[in-house]
Amino acid sequence: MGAALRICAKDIRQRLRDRTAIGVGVVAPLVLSGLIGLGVGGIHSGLQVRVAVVDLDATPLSRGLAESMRHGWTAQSVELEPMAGEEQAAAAVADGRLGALILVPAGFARSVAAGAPLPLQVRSSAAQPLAGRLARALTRRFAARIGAEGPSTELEPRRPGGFLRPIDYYGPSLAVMFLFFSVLGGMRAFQAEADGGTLARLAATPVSTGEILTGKIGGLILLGALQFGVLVVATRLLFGVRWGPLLPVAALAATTVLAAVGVLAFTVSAVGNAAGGWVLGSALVFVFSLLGGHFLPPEGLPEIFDTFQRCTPNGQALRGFTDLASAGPAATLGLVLEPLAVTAAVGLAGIAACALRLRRPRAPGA
Amino acid sequence: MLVARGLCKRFGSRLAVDDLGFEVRRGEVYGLLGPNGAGKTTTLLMLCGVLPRDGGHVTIDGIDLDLGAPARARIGFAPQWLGLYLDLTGRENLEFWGRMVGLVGAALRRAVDESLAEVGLAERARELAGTYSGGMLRRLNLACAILHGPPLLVLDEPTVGVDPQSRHAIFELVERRRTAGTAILYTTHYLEEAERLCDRIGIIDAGRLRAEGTRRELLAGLGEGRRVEVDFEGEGEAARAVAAAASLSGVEKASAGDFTLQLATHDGPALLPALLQALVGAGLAPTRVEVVEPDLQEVFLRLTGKALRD
Repeated sequence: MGAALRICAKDIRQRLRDRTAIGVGVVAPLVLSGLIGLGVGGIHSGLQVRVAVVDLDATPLSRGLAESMRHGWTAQSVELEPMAGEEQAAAAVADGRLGALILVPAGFARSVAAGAPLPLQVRSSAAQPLAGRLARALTRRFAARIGAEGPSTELEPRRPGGFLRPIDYYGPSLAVMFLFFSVLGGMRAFQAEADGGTLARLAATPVSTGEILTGKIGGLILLGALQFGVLVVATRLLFGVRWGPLLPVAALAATTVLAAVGVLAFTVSAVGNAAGGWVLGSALVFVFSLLGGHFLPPEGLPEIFDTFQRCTPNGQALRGFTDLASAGPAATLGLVLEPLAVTAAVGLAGIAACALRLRRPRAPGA
Repeated sequence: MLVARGLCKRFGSRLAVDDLGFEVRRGEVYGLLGPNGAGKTTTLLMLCGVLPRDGGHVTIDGIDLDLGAPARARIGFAPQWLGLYLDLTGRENLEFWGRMVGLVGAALRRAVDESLAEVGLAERARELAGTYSGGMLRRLNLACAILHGPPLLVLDEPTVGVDPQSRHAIFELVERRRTAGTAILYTTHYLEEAERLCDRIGIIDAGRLRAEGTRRELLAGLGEGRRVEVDFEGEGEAARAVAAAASLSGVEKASAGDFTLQLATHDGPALLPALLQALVGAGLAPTRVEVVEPDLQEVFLRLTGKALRD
């Protein structure tokens, strides 16, 4: 394993010397985050939505739900409208006077005490999908706080990319997108070694193929993790981006890096040469970014874009990060199980395919 | 030191190496010569464990190559394609390749310093390899191969594209290593290099070993001795000279071009006095007389043909 670490250290040293790589990987997403934050309504501006809570349970616990919404980072963005009747509230949601409705049914407290999922219903206005998104996030936060499962009933398909300040969306969006571009740069360098024959020369040393591939892929993963970590910290400190709790964010960041490495290692190694791999990889990252909602949130776009986002590893990662940001400090790993599973699976599959392809390095002239 | 038997390698339907076998002994430079596409590099890559073999057996210093790391640790490989990192300095390249063969700490530093000195790059060691000239890169490539003092050096066209000074330095390094007992497998397209450096030579074509031996043995196998060439100025003089020379003792064959008489003989210099006497006696006035030695190029072309290779 020592040889793998030395290969990894050598690769990291080479990449950190590359100013272009640092520019693309760290500086560009930070600059763009700042510009987008300033340009789209100001970094610290937020959206004001009106959410009705219809409390048919009228217990201390159900009143606690409404109360919880008056606190925390959403307090300044949410205008709560207590309403007694479900029909009246539903009508207000239907005609767009209210952004969303949270219905607390009778027996809510008993159900929670019995350990059942929160029997809450959330409806959002077709005209204000962000409000529905926010309402669901608030119920999840409440569920996390009282140790219950999330709402059992959602009357509408879940629409990611919902209520967030622009900077909270585009910070993770740009971080994920530029992570993919940076990993592509690293993978191009890896393939260039295969093309140039240094991998073949390595194969002539006592170092095993497994150690060589571990060192190479490990270098890509470590660099990706370093870059993403720097972007998380920098966007938090510079622009106040809300990422969510450390543990789920770190876990999702790790699998996102894995996915980036897997997708691009597979793509570039399948092309079989550095130049071609760079061209195809760039096109792939661009298309994935488009489909994954990095340029425009799927919210407000046709429903198919929601599916597109779920079908791309970067889109899954972005959904996960925005879900974590939406749910706030109470978010748990359970909230991002799907993005975690998808990105990890894609990453491992891609890395395995790349390893199979490069297990026998080509030698120029052979 | 290196024993290869029955090596085979197939790429699709093409048999690149076909039942190839040879040995390289301690303190010997073994030249593997062949035209482009003959299978030289493929053979070297199999011997270094880079390419899997489709058949055959290899031992290095008595260790089966299939054991992997223990056998490969005894090889120093300098590929023809320059396996170097141009964005690292010369010293960093050496440090990295040294670590890959298990050198660490003081032993690594000492090996790097000695290798840099041996190839004359000590003063430029802290510059990026990407700024080096072609000759310096070749020397650095070689330095990476000799770092750990391997008992077997595999050098694949180590002098391609270098200036005479670098080539001379590389020759000296090879000769020093041979003197120190290293077994050296050397491929080259430059036949004069092989004549100068190689103790034994194997000529390979279409993946098969066509001939093997010392230079003298290969020339003897050619079946031809020295040639004597005599030029004349006058029309028809060469043809008249054939009649005068053909009956001389030691002349195996006499032929004439427009102005040149060619004699095949095994002992050219001894023939000269009688030849000149016979020519003058026949009223002929030679303008040039030369004893031509057969060389490796003739052997090479005889064995591999004159058709162009891609």
